[in-house]
Amino acid sequence: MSGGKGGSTTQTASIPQWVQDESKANVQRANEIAQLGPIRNYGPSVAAFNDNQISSFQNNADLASAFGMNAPADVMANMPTAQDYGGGVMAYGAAPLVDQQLATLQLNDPNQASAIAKQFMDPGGGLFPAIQSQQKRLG
Amino acid sequence: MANGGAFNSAINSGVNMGAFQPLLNVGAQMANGTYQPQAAASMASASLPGTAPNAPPPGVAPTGTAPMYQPVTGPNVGQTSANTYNTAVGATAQGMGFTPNQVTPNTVAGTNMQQYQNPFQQQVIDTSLADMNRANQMALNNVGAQAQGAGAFGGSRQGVAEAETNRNFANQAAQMTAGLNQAGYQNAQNMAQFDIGNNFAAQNQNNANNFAATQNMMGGANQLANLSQQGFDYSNRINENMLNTGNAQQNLIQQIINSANGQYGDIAQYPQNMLNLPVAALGGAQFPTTTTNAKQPGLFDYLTMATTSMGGR
Repeated sequence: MSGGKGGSTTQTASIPQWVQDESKANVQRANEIAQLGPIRNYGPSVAAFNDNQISSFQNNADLASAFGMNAPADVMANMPTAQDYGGGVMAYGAAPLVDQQLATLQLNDPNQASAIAKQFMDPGGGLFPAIQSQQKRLG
Repeated sequence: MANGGAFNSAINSGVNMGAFQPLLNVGAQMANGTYQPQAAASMASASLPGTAPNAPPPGVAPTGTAPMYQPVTGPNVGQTSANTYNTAVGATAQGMGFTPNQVTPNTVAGTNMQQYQNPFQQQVIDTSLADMNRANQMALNNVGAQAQGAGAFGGSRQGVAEAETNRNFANQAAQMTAGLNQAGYQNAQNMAQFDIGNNFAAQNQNNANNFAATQNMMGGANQLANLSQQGFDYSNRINENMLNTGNAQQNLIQQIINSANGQYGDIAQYPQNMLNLPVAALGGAQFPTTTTNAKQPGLFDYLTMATTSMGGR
């Protein structure tokens, strides 16, 4: 810009209106998406042991027992029960543990949990749908 | 010796195989083809391919449920290996504990010879003495008859002759008795020495037999140890193969899960990823920018404008 005794000239470059409209719409969509919150995965996480593996484990324990060594009578005792996810997939899901962790957070620090929950919409049944049941389970 | 006694008992009655005995029974049954495990016993009447009693003739499709081959299951190889190992250890320990019996030869001096004496020896001596005495009496009678014929019966010469006859009788009786007793004792001694020899040989033979049996047992224990190792290796290898099979199956399932989770993640992340599409589109587009020039007039501009206006009048 020039000025002084001779005056001045200002040159302005503007973004086309349609580009501005698209950008605003994208930001709007981003805000809407942000309201969705984290999307949980209630599906399988880790494949469970199958019959061949379990038989191998048990055979090994039985062999140890046959030689007079300590061995569990049931090698799968104290192991979580695998879930049938259909299609022949027996697996373990991490969702119950995540639910439990969220429920524990809700119990120990409800304000922080609530602050997190306020960042996005309530999909129904609360921020973490399983919290209620987990809270009951944890007592 | 106590150990030898127990060993002899084991040899005579057969070694107690303990927990291994059922395995021996199974092995014997397998050898003669009569073995039927519990799982197989129930299907003893099951039809095997080619042996089905009601099998259709060749070329004719079977009806109903096709006979299925059911492998005959044997005893648990791991349990067998353990039993075999324990038996091998026990047999080895028993064999290592073998100590030969001490051989104690009997002696004639320590033997009661009476049991070897002829129980009828005295009767033989008495009978012989009676016969000799009768012969002596006959000889004395002859001496008396001769003296009477010579008119010297009762004389001193008859007395001398009778004394001589009796002396001969006494000598012969003593020799006969001594001879029979000597012969009897010699015979008893021979029989005792024969028995002593037999007893000594029997003791040595028992030791040899026990040693041979122990060596046989040690050989069997070595064989059992090898079989135990073999069974253990079988068990481990089969188990390892089974584990590898299971791991491959689990890996396949895990890959399916990972694939599903990947697709699920794409779906869950789609809204967020979708935001990039307009940005990418805008970033790649060449759109014109509108440039606007705005001029602010200065002092000279106004003077020029005024001069121009005045000149124009």
